[in-house]
Amino acid sequence: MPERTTTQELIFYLVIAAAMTLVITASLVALDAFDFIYEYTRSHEDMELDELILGIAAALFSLVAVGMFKSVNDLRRYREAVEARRKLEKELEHRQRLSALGTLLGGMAHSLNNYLLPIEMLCGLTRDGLDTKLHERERQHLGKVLEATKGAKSVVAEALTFARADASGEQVDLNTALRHALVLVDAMLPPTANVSKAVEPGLGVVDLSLQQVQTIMLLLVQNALDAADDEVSIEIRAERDPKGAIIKITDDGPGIPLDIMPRIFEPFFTTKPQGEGTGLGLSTVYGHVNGAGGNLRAENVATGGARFILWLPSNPSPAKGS
Amino acid sequence: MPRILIIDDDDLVRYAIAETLRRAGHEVIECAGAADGLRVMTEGAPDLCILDMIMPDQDGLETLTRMKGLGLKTPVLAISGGGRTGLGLYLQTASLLGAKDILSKPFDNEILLAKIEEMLAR
Repeated sequence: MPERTTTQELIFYLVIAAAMTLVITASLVALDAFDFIYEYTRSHEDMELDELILGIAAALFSLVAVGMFKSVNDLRRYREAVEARRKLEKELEHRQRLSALGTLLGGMAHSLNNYLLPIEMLCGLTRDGLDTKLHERERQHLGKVLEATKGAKSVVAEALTFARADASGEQVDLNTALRHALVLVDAMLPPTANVSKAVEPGLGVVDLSLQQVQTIMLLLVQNALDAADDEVSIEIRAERDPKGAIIKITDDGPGIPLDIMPRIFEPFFTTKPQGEGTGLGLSTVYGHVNGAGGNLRAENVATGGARFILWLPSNPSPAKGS
Repeated sequence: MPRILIIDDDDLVRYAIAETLRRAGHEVIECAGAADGLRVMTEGAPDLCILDMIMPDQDGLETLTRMKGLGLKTPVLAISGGGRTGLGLYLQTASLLGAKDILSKPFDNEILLAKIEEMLAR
């Protein structure tokens, strides 16, 4: 149901005020109020009727104006509070869903690992026991089974990255890690892509490993590349925050359709055709960032394109510089 | 011939590990639960114990604690397939509780055998 805007609300109150004026005027006329005032002022010669009426009208007008201004202001504040609450509830629901998915995936990964282990070990055992001359073909087949098992293992491992909310136990200076990560980012970008980078010094030490920071940056840039064409412009900014560091990655692609926005961090969610993407990129980033006590969100920018904003809690670096 | 005890509730996992170890020339004792495993260790110390961390009757961490209480000195290789926070947390804690080495599932034959040889040589 569409909600009324503040302007519509203002018109509504003006109509109410006009209706009330009509009712009050009709009542005053019916009561011969004017005669009463006239009589009253006649008997008090020192008062002037014109000034009294004008004074009352001015006071009424002022009261109505102040009241309406206050009402509209209160209404706007109420709307904002309701909207903020709605956003918060949505965010909470989103986090709860991701957390439930994490638990589900963790359990699934445990079971799958227990199935993959015998497949891999017994295939290897059988293959190694086969005669290389007599059973070359069978050995090849088992080699393919082992290859497929390795693929399945890596998918389970990636899904576990999302599922695990625990930190890696490692720490790294974010400036140093970003420097390394941005070298890899440069290497992966097509020459037609346009990248601007601005990294503030003193971002501090975060609860991530160097590899995790590299993975986060590569996956987010890869995501921008997948969404846009080769001539994409990507802006990477890293800034200090009172309690940590903020990294923003903005592209000028088509942006994220609003209907899929709530699902983009879910594992295995992908908009790519089947077989072209695992849907684990952004969920892996989410897992790393969450594990480090930070948060990750996405938004569309007004000029077009998408922006990923990740916040990481950090402590000042012990060594100066970087 | 080294005697290796495998404690894992998953039949397929136990079978695969046992077959690999037997092929490599080890004597293998299999137990599907921690209580059984503790009994085997008390009766005659094996050279090494491969202990799963997540089991229904008694988890690996509890087993390690009981081993300590019983004064059992069998070197333990802790294995785990994870869970939500399981993999890192379980295996790290297992090390703190006295497991000599850790291995996350799934692993292949070469990795397991290399780890076993290394532990037996210590």
